Amino acid sequence: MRLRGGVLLIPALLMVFLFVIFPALWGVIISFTGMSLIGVHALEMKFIGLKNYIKLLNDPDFFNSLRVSFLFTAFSALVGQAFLGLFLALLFRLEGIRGKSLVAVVVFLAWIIPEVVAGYTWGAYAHKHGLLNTLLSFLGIRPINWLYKHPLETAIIANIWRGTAFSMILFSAALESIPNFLYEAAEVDGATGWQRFRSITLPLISHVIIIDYILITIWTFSVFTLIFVMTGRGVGGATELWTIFTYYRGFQPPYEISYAAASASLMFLIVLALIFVYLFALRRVKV
Amino acid sequence: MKRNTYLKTLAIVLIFTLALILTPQGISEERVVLTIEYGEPWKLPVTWALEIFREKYPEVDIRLIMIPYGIDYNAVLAVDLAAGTAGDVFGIDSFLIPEFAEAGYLYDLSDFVKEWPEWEKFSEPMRKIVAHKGKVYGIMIDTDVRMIWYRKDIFRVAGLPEVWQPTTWEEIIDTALKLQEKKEEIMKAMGVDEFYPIYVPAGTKWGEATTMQGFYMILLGADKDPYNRLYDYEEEKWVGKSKALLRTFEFYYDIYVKHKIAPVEYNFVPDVWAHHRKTFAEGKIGMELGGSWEWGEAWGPTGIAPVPEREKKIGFAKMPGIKGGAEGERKWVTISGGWAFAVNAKIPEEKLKYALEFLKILHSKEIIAKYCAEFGKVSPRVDAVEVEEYAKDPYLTAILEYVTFTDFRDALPGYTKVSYFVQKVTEEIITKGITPEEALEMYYKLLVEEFGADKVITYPLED
Repeated sequence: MRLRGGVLLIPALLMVFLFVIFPALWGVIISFTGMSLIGVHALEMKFIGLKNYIKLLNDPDFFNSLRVSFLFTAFSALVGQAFLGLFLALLFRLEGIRGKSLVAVVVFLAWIIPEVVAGYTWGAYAHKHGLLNTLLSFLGIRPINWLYKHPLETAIIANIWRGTAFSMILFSAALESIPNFLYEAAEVDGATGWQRFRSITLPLISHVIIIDYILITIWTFSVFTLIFVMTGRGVGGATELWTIFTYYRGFQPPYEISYAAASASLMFLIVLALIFVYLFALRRVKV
Repeated sequence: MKRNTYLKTLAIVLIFTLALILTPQGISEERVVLTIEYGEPWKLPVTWALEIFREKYPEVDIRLIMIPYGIDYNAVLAVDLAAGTAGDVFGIDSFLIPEFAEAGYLYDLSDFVKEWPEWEKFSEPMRKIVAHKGKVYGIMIDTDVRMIWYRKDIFRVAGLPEVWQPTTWEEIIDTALKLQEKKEEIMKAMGVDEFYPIYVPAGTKWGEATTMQGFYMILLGADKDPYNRLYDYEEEKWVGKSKALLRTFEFYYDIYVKHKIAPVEYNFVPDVWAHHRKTFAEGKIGMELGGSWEWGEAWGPTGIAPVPEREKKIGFAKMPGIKGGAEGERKWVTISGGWAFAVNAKIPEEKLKYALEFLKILHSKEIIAKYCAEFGKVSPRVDAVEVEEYAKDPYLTAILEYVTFTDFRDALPGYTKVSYFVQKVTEEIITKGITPEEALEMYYKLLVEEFGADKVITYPLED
């Protein structure tokens, strides 16, 4: 029986190896070569050791992209998406609030529309002559080009808008699993709404919060399309996420694919370290 | 029993999927399939050529990979070639030919052109631009020149002459400053809510266009030959510091930082190309450095941002040297690039014949002339003037003069990196306001880091 289960796993493992592990390893291997897409070194496997990594650690653009990625992930995912998601999930549990389904539909729409479309939508929305400025003009605020004056802030808000649905679903499911009698008992004991949230809801969903953090950290670190379409690098690299930095190094002249691979490998290690921190936290919460 | 059926079904599905994945594309591979990869701007000539090709060679199937406007064609092509999925025949920006040839991506067409009598109809620079180390790797389909575009109607509002030809840089900046003074009136007359007197592409978002439309147009007229280039052909080194470079950075500094008469933010919008065409058409820009194709591709009746009665509203002028030639530099400056079609080095033997036949048709006198006339591009073939559509076009006739003093970029291996440094440094100037001297220092350092100090030459900054 056990053997048959193992046999069944083979196709899946094969796929994972072919399409995940092998390309990832290949990326690491390339990062130690001087390979480029064009020119004399095109597709040439000449090993140059750690040169790409040393260059990376001396590249102010790389550190800028690290900073942008951290800010972007911290504010758009860990603060924005998670808090808004939790807030909406709590809101939907309350009875007697109208328009809940409308809000849910809107939040979902942002999540399911293709990323390129979302990017262009935001590009048009935050444009100097876009809807955002039209709305603000009713408040007497002068139109500005948001993508130019506040590129990172706009990108963060766009990503909150885009990704909140996931946290909302996850938290909604978690809240459903909390037995109602706990709240009833607390109410009988005279606990206020805040006390109930703090002492019942939060501890009981804390492991879900950490799982949510793990997932949205991974996803947000690898966000590319939305921001690439909206602002690209942004003014002077203001929205040059690590992914965009990597893209520009690999797929724009001079097409240094090995340098891009080094950047991707290094970032993989950084995200991995973050995940370990979360997993450690998850363990503590569960104990 | 049930479990067994389940397993069997699963196995069958798996085998089918694997078979589908592993089968080389289709079993009906008897017919030759010729794949052509090109950007949307070349849709018309490719379509015309295919009409003729299909009639002549009905045994060949054609597969088209058209990369639409708004997508970086060069990036797609580079990746497709590296991955081995590029077309058998493809369009290529001529400046990339050396580095693509070095990479072994391009089929050597030297023997083909030797036996092709029409090769002689291409002007000499057009035969040179597609060659690398003595071998021919592509055939030009169009070329271009660059100039100052300006709005006659805006000049009228500002009380400036509609027929305008500056002879020095100073004159350009003075005119721009005059437009700046009349900004409110211009905005009212044009019905726009913002106006910038002058626009020169800068920064990394524009990519190669920053270097070609902007930087080279200034650099080539900034000092006398050969001190006005990015590369020193005698020493075979990149130029790290020169008076010409300093003056060029200064030009950017003056219009973007000192006088603030150029739009920094236009260089960072999601689609810089579409945006510059639209804003110029709307009357938000007084003058700009740009390419000759814009006349048809952007502002023509079938263009991206049509300007009705463009002859009355849009004018163009030659870019002068810094003092108009008074200090030994060039009187007029322009630079040409353009696109070629090339054959994939990995093309299978049985397709090669058809690929070459397709090139012959695509680069025939009629198709090149008709296409260049339609888009206002300069024909790489000298006999295009024999075709009526081309000869009767007053615009094309007018820019023929530019071809007499045109130049080409220093497209050697390594050029794409140098070009990127130019983009980066101009971005620093316009966004951070670094001085021309700081910009020069930064540029020099980038070159030395990349190529090593022994591959970089510096010229004295004082006479």
